[in-house]
Amino acid sequence: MKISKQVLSRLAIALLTLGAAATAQAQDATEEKKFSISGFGTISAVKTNDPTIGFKSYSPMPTGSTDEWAFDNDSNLGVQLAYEFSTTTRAVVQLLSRRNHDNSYDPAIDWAYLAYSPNRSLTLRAGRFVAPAYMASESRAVGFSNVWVRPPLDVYQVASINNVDGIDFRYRAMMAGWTYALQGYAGEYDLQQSGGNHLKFNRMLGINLTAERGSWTLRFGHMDVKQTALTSTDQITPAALSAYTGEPKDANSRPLRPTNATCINSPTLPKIQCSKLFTNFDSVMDDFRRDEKGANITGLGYLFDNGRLLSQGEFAFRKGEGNIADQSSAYVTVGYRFGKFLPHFTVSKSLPRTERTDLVVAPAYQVAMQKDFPQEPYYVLNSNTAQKSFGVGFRYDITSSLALKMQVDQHTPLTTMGRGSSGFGFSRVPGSLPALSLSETSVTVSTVSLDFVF
Amino acid sequence: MTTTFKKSLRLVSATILLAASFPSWADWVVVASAKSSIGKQSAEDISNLYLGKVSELPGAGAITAFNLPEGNGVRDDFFNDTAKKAPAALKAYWSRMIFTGQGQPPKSLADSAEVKRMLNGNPKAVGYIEKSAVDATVKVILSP
Repeated sequence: MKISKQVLSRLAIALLTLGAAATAQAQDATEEKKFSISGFGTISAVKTNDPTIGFKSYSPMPTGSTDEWAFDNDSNLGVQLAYEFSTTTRAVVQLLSRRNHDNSYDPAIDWAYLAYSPNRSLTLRAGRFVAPAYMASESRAVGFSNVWVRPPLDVYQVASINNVDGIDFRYRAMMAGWTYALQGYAGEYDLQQSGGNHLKFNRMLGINLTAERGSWTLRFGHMDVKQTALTSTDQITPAALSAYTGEPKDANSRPLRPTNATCINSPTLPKIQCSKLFTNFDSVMDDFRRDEKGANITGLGYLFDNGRLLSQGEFAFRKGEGNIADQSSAYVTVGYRFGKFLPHFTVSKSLPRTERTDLVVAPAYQVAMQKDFPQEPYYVLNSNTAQKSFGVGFRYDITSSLALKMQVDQHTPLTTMGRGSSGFGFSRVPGSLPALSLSETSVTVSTVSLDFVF
Repeated sequence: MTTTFKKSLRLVSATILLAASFPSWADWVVVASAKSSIGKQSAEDISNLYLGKVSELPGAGAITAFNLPEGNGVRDDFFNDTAKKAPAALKAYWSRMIFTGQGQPPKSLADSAEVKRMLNGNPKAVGYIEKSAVDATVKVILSP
């Protein structure tokens, strides 16, 4: 199952060579075209309405765009090479260039797989593909295939899952007038983030069922992962518990490190480690460290498109563990085609079920703690990112392979249990500013893009 | 005044009648080889086949479908009527399918003559052509 970068790049080179050979051969043969090359791209300009609010459409990017038009957020270029070995076997490599975790545009291998179809209903794949967590996850980079400039943040940024190195199957069937597609997959992935951090998906398993009839598409999806969050030196994060007393304003959180000789510096408390000061410190720390922690996402989605009226919506529930809270997210998009002009709007919301865990002070130190910190016990909260959004935009099909899109989105990060959040996709510039939900009501993101396929 | 009103009314009614009696201006028909055993088909089944959602037609088993090239008026009318998709919407649909590895659009042939020639050699294939191109070599399995 483990597929190294080397193997993938070798596969890419082999395909390119094969492709070149095949095109050369095809010159003098009347046989069908075995090799195909196709691609897609987006040229996009994005800005927020505030110099202190950065926006990232892709979470691994090191920096976001603020209130000046930036072309380095959603812009991308993808090239797909496919080679048909026979009617049942094909190899596909898709390279995607976009600003990435190390701030370069180095093309990444987004897809690379061998597909085998033993019959017309079943396709088996092995290699790299994109985790189909949500309805539009797989086509997230293909702007031309979507009506929005990007999939709704409140749902699509809840999971940072990109690719899967593994295997999948897709089975198609028709029953009682509906066509069905059942997909199952298994694999792993190491997602590189900025600053050398990475999120290792130790295991990913999932299943999707899509049913289509006429204008309707219905989808059920479930994905189950085990993940480990690591620093550039492969240390598991978080290394400290962010503990609060009283109102949990972000600035007041105190990092409690299991490695420190003195847990909390205070006049009355002795110099003592956190695991001795709090009876449940070790178990809470274990729970919060993202070391092979489970999470799963269950989603329901629909698409209605009768050629004029278009509506798409998804509801997704994330079940978390440790410092990842349970989270419910949903969006609904409605649009109407006036010929080549398609105005649309989207409403979305994502709310966590943030949980509070009190740290229990060992009996020997209760008097001293009462004296120094009389307000409240120390406690920790798991993830609290919350946001609601409203967006309007249009897509105009200039030609059958070139679309112009404009979109204005108003995102409102929300405070949960008194703790601020900068929402999905946003950060304060500089980072020392208070979380967005504590200081601003909302942020406006404006986007103009040209999407094409070739 | 009254005459003008009556005249306009007549004109409006005539337009409505005309529109109603021609639900589609399209001139396409879906055909198979005259020697083929493929029977009459519904627009929904043909649409599913052309969108790659199924690879079979009811009562006919696995079927190869042929397209006309992009920009061809018969093609545009055919997809507008059966799949309710304008050319750009169809291209958006296929770009999602192609770049997510879910399928490839049916092969495009140069024109109706080429479609008829290919069908002649393959009883398990269908294609859409302009109505006026129907001849003894093919049989119509769906018309608008």
